[in-house]
Parts: sequence; structure tokens; C-alpha cells
Amino acid sequence: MLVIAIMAIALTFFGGTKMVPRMDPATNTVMRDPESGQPVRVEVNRFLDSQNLIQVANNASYIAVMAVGMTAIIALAGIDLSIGSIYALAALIGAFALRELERTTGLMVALPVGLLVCMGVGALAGFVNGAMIVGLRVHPFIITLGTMAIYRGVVFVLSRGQTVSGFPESIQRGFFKLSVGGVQPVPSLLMVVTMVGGWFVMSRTVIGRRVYAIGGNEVAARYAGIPVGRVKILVYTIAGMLVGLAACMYAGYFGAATSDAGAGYELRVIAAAVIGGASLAGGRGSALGAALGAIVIELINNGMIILQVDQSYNQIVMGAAIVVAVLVDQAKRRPGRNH
Amino acid sequence: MDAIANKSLVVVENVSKRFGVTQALDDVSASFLAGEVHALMGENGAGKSTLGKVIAGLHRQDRGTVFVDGHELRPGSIDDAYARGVRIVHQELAQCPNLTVAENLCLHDMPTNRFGLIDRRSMNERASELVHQLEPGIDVTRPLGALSPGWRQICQIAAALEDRGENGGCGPRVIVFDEPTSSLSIAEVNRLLEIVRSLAERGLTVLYVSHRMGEIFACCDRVTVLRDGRFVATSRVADIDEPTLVEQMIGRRVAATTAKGLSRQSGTSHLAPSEPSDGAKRASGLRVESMASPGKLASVSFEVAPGEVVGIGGLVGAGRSELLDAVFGLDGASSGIVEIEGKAIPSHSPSAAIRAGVGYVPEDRKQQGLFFQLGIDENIVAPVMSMLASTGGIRRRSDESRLVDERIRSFQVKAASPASLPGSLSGGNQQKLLLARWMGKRTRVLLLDEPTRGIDVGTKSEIYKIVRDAADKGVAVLLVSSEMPELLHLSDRILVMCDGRISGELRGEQMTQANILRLATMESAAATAADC
Repeated sequence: MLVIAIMAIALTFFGGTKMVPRMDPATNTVMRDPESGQPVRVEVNRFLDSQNLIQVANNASYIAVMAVGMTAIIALAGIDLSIGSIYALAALIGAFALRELERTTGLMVALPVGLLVCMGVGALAGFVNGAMIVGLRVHPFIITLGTMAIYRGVVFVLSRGQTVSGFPESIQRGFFKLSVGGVQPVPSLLMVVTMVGGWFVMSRTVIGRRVYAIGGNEVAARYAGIPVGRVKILVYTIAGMLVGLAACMYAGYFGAATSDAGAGYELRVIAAAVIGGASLAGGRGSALGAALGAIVIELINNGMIILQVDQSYNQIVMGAAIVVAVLVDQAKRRPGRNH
Repeated sequence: MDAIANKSLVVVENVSKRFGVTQALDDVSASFLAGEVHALMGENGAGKSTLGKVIAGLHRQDRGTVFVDGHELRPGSIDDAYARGVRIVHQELAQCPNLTVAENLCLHDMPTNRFGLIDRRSMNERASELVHQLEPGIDVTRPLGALSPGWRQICQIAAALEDRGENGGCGPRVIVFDEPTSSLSIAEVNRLLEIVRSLAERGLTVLYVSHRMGEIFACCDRVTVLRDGRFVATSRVADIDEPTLVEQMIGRRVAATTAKGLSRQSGTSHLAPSEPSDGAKRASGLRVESMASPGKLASVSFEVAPGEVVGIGGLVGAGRSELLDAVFGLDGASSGIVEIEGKAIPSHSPSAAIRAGVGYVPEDRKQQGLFFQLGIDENIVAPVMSMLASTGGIRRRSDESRLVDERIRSFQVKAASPASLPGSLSGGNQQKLLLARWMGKRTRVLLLDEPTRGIDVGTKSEIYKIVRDAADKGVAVLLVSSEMPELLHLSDRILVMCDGRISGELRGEQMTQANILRLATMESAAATAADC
């Protein structure tokens, strides 16, 4: 809860500073105008405008969904560097499957196919990671550094570097990019569902508490009879499945999968989890924090655009935000609970 | 011992040292001669290692003085001790297994050429010179980690023998060996003992910290015994025999009888388990058959009846904790049968053991026991959370908190709230917390490893009561303790372990400190003696 409070403060802080300049320049309204297709209204140009917020949330949602899984891995004192590659692999194979369907296939067929294939591929890739980490007793950093390259290589082999598109209309216009009242809420809603689901699993189920126990003290976990290996494999598998979900959201939203999708996402996802309060030493981290961390990263992005700062500064600010977030978290940390 | 032997080189006066609640050394005075091998003996925790470390400057004494050749050493200063010629050889001493023998020996001062690069040739020469006086077979260009434990030990001794003249100090004059043979094979031990003797013949004072009888009689001139941090006696080895030495280590005969009286007193209230003959008919609480694990345990078999407390005695490294680990299914390499109330545990895993009704309070509550990032409540329910949960693994929080409240109350864990972290508790309360974890109806067998280590006296007696109460409810208790009075007080029967096997069983009148110690040191003493 402490972490979330810090994040809320951070959000208000970042949001607040960016709100003011956005309201002033009239150029922004002009930019927004053709997109909404509505005649210009006086009060549109605030940062807290529904359009902008949903856009920020949608952009954050891919990272956020993956960060929920990553948080569980980090709370387990593990790491997964391969998720950017899993993301591309799941999206690609999902795209292959969707391309096979008729363009006119209905949502009730297209969506389950897309979700099942993407999440299945993601789960399988995560399972392979977990099984190797547990079975071969190699540090997860090394295993996933290896699979990061392997999975990405598989993507290049399968796609030959081409973009795969031509999905049924229904999955894009009819679901992931569905427009409701001028906004496209589905990716954001999926993020919220994942976040709440992640919170529930991490705090209210046995497996979730075992994750914290193992991450906090693996030796003691063994002495308490916790099946450490099984929990680890399961967590990597579930995290992979969530990456698959994010991949499906991405392919479904954009109607295509590219072979370089998700490149560098592993670091953004880890950053989101860490900003959200996960400790790389294990034992700490929350799903809510992870999603909020992803939103903070996206807010920084968004804020820089609104402030019309040169994109080149983006990374510098982002890097500083990670360090500051962790420092603030460390300073504020008291004996508290993981939620 | 010859001419120089009359001179006391090292004198220790009124040294005291305290670690937390333990008084490791209490007003100890002793003196050690030049050219002698002087053994420091005592039980686990008697203070013998601490004394060696105080002399070498590794520990800073609270009171008292150490003199070397008439000079008062600065307390707790390794450098000062080193400059006066005091060297220590012990297991935990920093060594880098990834570097070569020569690099290890020259780590403090690597010879360089005029370009500032390491001069390997002169480094290797210097190292060979040191090592080969002890063991010509060692190749100093090999990584230290590739050497056998015995040779590694010899390299340490070689390092200790180095004369670093540049500090204005003198060469080695006093060498402290701290349990030097604990990880060596018998042949290696004998080679080491030869080296130890040769050092004394060169006029050095050797302080030999050990609890192995055989080694003491094989190579030492005099022996000083410590007990509970106090000086007991210094004798010439030639003038003393083993029983007398054992008696000195464990205290007066009177002490032994008192402890026995205590144990019998507590034993009378548990008549059922003291009739082991009908154990065959009734299902025993815990039955272990041919439990073996490579390098740790050699075919251990025993039974514990419901309501019986069986103690396991033995020295550090005898395989006591390893036995408990194996029974609990934590040792992947172990083989053997574990039966709980007549039913074999189907697989070697802690979760199977817990389902069968085994509870385990491990030795090190910080490393092995507690989750410091989780609340007291979750620390208690950790092993049973999945059994309390509804289908799908969703926690039943009301059931959990009911169980937690009841345990905290009945075991009087003094905590601000069930959600507070274990780090906020005292050591005694942390230990009670760990015990409370296993005190459910489900637990039929309780494995306790040093359940009162580092705990104040008051909490100790509470824990004794908890253990006895559990036994009264029919739980079979297996207790490992290095504290003799505790072992004698709590146990209905004692198994003594030595070198990974059970070297003897003691009942009733036989349960004395002397008998335990004799069985615990028997094997190693016999082996060493046989090999000499």
C-alpha cells in the first residue's frame, strides 16, 4: 500500500506539472481536433482529458500487463530478460493463426483463437525458462539472456523479417480497437483486469504468498515445505502467459505483428516493476505497483511530448525516474506488508 | 620438551569475552611455553576457539590481557599480534580458491617488476620456498581450489609461517590451529600432526584447538581444558588419561548426577514411552530405517515412540542436522525409509513429510526458519496455508487468522500484532514463533534442532515446557542439542552420533555427560589412534 501511495503522489506530481503548459498553447487543440472529428470545444485541452488519458493508458497497457507477471518473477528473486522476445514470438505465431482465418470471421471465433494461441505460446516459452532455471540450476539471468536471443532468433526464422498481417476485421475493429464514445477502452480495461487479477493472486492465494516467501528466504521456504521448484516454474509460466496476452493486445490493436516487436521491452517492463516497488533482491513487489509503474513510464513519455521536449531527452528522464523511484521507495520503506 | 621449553612465551591473564547472552570466556588465565604443542580442549561452546582467536587478535576481549614474550598485545589487533609472531590457521580463513597457490600466498604483497606488472617467476619462487618446506608435492601454480583439503590446509600453514620482515615484526613464533582436522581424511590428519610436531621442534609454540581425543594424545605436550568459558586445568598429556580429561571437560561427577536426576524426574511423568518393548506391537511415532546420504549419513536406523523425546547427542559435524534434514526430505541424495505412525512417507520431499505430520524447527532460525518480509501470521501458517485454502488455492483468511491468534496466545509470542514482522521480535519470541508454526493437531513428529540456541534462560524454560507438552499429547520428538544439560533434561533416551552414524544409545542411568562425550568422540579417537 505504501508503494501505491508513493506512486499516486508521483502521478499527481508528474500529471500536475504537465497539465499547466498543455492548457496554454492553442496548438494542441488544433492537433486534437481532426482526430476526434468533433467541432472544437473550449474545455478539451486539459491533460486530464479522457482522450489523452485513455491513450496514455492504452500505450501503457502492454508494458503494464507484462509488468504484473514480471513483478511476480522479481518478487521470487528471479528475473526474465526474454519477455521482449516472447512478446514478439507470441504475437507472430498468433498472427500466423489469425491470418489463416477468413477476413470476415466473427469475433467469437477470432478472439479465442488469438488469445489462446498467443497466451499458449507465451506460457510455453515461460515454462521452458522456468523448467531450465529449476532443472539446470542456472541463474535466471543467464537462462533468460540465452532464451532472449533464441526466441528472437526463432521469430526471425519464422517471419523471415516480414510483417504478418491480414487478420479478421472483427478482432481489431470489433474488439481491441473498438471505439466507444470516441475512445478505445479495451487495452486499458484488460490492463485493469490483469492488475486486479494479479493483486488477487499475489495477496489472496497460496501460490502468491509462496512467491513472497521464496523470494524473501528460499532456504526457509524449503524448511517450511514449500515446493520451491514447482512454484518457480509456475510463476515463469504465468508470467509468460501474460506476455502472450500483451502480445495479443498488440497484434489485435495494430492488426499486424512485426519481427522486431517488443525489442527492448524487457528493460521497460523491469523498470515498471521496480518503479512499482518490486525489489530485485526478492520478497517485495505488487501487481498494482507494477501497473502504476508502467503508467508512470508512459506518463513521462506523454509528458515529454506535451511539453514538446526533444524526444532525445526521453531516455535520460526515464532513467532518472527509475533511480529516484527506487531511492524514494528505499527511504520510505518501513516494516510494512506486501500488498 | 627441552631447554627452551621452560620459558612461557604466551601468557593469558584474566581474559573475558561475551557474545550477546553467551559468556564465551570468563576470567581465563593460562600460559603456553615455547617449543610445545599445547592443546585447548572443551565441549562445543566451551570457549576454546574463542581463546585462540583472542590470542590471534581476531576477537577483542572485554577484559584481560594477552602477553607474547613479555609484550602486551593490543586487544583485537590482528596486526599487532602478527607483528609479535602470532599466526592462526583456521577453516574460515580467507582463501581464494580461484587463484593459484602462489597468488594466495603472496596476496598481501605481490612481487612486481619495474613496469608494475606482476613478476610471476619470483612470486612462484617465494611461494614454493614456503610450501615445499612442508609438502614438496604441491604445485604452486595450480589453483588453490584444485587441491585436496589437506593440501589446502598445508598452504594455510605455509602462509602462517611466512616471515614478513618489512613490518618491523618478527617471524612466526606462535601458531594457533583452530579445529584444523575437521574436514581432513585420516591420512591427511596424520600428515598434519607430523607437521605440527615439526613446528614445535623448531621452537614455535603451537596452540592446538580440538575436541578430538586421539589427536591430543598423538601429538600434544600439554593440554588446557575449558568449560563454559572458564579455565579448568592445565596438565601434561603424559600425566593424564582419557577419562580424567573427559571428566574435566564436562565438570564434576556431581554435575552429572544432578542432570540425571532431572531427566529421571521428568521421565517419571512419561511412563508409556519408557516401555519400548511394546513398541513393536504399537505403531511407533517415527521409524527411520537405513537412512543414508553420501558423505553425510551412513545407514541410520532408529525409532521414536509417540510421546517420547529422543535426544541426539554428538559433536559439531557428526551428522545430526543432516539426519533431521534427511528425515524431513530435504536431502535430495538421501535414501532410506521414514515411517510416521506406521505409514511410510511416499516420497522424499518436505511437503510429503508435512502432510504425513512431520514438523521441523531448523537450527538457524534466521537463515532457515523465518520469512522476515512476511508478517508473523504468515510465518505461522506458511506450511499449512495450502491445506487451509479452498479449492483453487484461494486463502481462507478467517481460518488463517483464527489459527494464528490461537497459536500466538497459547505459545505466548509477544508481538504487537499478528501482522508485525518477525524482525521486531526478540530471539526467544522468534524461536517460539517457529515452534508455534508446527504446534497443530496435524503434527505427529517434531524435529527440533538446537531449539534454544542464543535464547535467554526464561524463554528456555518456556520452550522446554512447550516440548514436554507436545510429547504429552503423543507427539514423537527428536531433539538435537549441543547443550548437554538440555539434552539430558529433555530426553527420555539419547542416541549419540559420530561421523554420520549412531555410535550408541543411552537410557536411564546411562544418560550422563561422560557417556555421551565418550560415544561422541569414540570413533574419531579410535580411527586416529589406529592409524598412528
